Amino acid sequence: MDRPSGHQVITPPPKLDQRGPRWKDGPCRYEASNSSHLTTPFVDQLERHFVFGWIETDSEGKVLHSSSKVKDWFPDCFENGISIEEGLSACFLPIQENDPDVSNRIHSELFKSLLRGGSLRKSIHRESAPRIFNYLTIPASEKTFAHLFIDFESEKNIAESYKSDLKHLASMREIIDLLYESMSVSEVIDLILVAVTASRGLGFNRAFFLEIKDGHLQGRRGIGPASVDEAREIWSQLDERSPSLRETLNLLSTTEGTPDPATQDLVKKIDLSLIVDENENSSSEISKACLEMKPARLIRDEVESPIDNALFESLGSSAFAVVPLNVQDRLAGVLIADNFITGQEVSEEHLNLLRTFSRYAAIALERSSLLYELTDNNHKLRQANRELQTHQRKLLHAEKLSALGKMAACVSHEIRNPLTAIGGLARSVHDDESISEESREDLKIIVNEVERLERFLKETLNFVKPLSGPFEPADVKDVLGSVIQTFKDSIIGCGIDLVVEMPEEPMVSSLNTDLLRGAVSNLIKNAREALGDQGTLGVHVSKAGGLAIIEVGDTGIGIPETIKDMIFEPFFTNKDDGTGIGLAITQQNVRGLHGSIELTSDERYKTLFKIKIPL
Amino acid sequence: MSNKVLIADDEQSIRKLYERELTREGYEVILAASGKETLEKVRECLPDLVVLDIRMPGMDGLNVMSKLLEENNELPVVINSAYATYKDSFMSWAADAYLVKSSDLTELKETIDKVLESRSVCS
Repeated sequence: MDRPSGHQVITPPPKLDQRGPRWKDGPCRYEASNSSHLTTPFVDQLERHFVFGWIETDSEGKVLHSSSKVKDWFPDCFENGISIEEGLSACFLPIQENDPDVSNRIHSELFKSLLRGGSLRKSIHRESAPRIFNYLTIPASEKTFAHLFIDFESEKNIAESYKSDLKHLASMREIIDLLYESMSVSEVIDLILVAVTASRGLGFNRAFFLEIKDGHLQGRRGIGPASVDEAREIWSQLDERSPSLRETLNLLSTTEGTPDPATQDLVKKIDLSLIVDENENSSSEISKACLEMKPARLIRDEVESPIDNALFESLGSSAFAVVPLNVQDRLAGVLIADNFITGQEVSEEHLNLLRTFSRYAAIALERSSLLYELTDNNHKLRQANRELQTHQRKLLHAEKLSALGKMAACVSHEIRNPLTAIGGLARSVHDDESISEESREDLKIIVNEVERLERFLKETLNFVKPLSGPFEPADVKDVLGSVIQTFKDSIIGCGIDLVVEMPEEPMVSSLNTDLLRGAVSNLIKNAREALGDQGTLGVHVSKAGGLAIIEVGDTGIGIPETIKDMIFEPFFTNKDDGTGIGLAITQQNVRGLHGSIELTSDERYKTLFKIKIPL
Repeated sequence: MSNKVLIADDEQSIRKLYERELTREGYEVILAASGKETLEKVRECLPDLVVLDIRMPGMDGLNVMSKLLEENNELPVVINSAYATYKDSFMSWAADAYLVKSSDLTELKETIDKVLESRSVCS
């Protein structure tokens, strides 16, 4: 392999006569010629793309031609006819062979390929203003040599610019990755602003996100220092840590409220109408950018429209970039970026980067807002579905009630009359002294069964047509006291413990006492039946937040989870001889008292009904 | 002299039961099976109290009551119906009592006693 290995090979300037034998033809005489062998389209091309100059010499090293760059760089050094050695020593200092600064420079691949024919290269310093050139000599024709000077700094600049492009590309990739990860609109906005301001991102001083609402441009979020002092502080901190974009973003989301309160305050005040006044002659650059959805650079001294001026006024900057964030023809918002602190102008390159970035940003923004809408709609749909279910249940409940009502009205007369006759006559005969004891017992059964049927009818009809007495001030405690009194003997008689807790102070409320009595009686009756002949039945009364809370609990086996939702339904029962009306009536009574009833349980009571009524 | 009680009910079994029980209580019982018969029997027998069923074929109990009270607004009327629904009807207010039918006649007997007692005190 004839290409130089690893580092650039630097050789001292060769003596021209040493070079001679390398060429097949040997040293040649200079022959005057009007045009150089180097004025070819290829060299022109090279000259245009790379910063280099050339000198053509004859085989003796006498200058025949020199390019305009050479004349420019080294005036009067390489006049025609002068020895190249002389000129070189006048302009250049030889570089130390092992100078690491130079030897580590990357050499252009192009010139490496030029070297394949075998030539000499050297880098040299110019004496006055130190500047590194690559210098190489190659045969230009059979009789002449080309001496090329490549501006090392320029070459380096090109490499640097590639490197910087690469860096931008890398950070753009990081930003895009992050944009894809972000789910919420505010997260995306934060990311956009961080990407625009971070040194690893686009490196602007400040960035603002403005929303479009009803033809108005309204500030939503802004980040960046508000003053030089603040900038110094923030930037030195960031420099020390040198956080990645992701870290910066995390930092932003963990900061309480907003990281740059002054800047955030400033952006919140922005509210500009984009609708241009027809009488206004000068059109707004911002409106135009939004309308055409094209990024623009605005300079304070050049704008004329009041809208633009107002924004400059608000932001206090001398120049900024306006970047509409749009997906197709939908404008999602406007990004403003400036160099408020450093005063650096917004370069074309930066605007291009912003333009590229804005496309991804807009898509991410659109995506997150669609996601939000989707989630929101989904939520609403679920809500609607829940409401529908509730209504359906209510409807079913109402339908059952209505069926119950019709049935009750219909059967009551048909059943009650015969029942009255059957029961009444059985009772009548039962009391007759002349009948046998055996018959009396049978009649007793008839009387009891008829009573049960009559009770069912009465409960059903009560439910269909609830008690509708007046609401009068009454003490809840008195009502409950009388109910408990009614049941006390039968409860204690069964061997059940009765626990009653009531507050000292009166609990007066405007009540229909019949409703309350009916509701609580039913609960106590149920609890007693659930307990059988052991356990504890508790009635606890308390006051909380303007409500009377009446709890009736029992230590029985509790109500299975599977039927908890149905216990208030009319006709629902898990008792052999239950009508399935009791709890439905209880609930209806409690509702009639403008209260609520719920079934729960605690450590003490397996079944606990909690009634709340306003006091 | 025992009080005369007229029982108006379209169901024979009810009439039989009431007749038997009220006779046992010591009342003289007159029976009517319809509204029309009720009006006739009242004019004819001049009962001390009328126990009136509401749902009867032809003229219903409430209409019968208003006719009876037009002729004699002093006549005590106890409504005895299988329906609780008419209890709130303003027509029912004119009655001395409103009882829902039950196989246990204790309440009915007590009510009749009470109404008659209060009337005898007044008059």
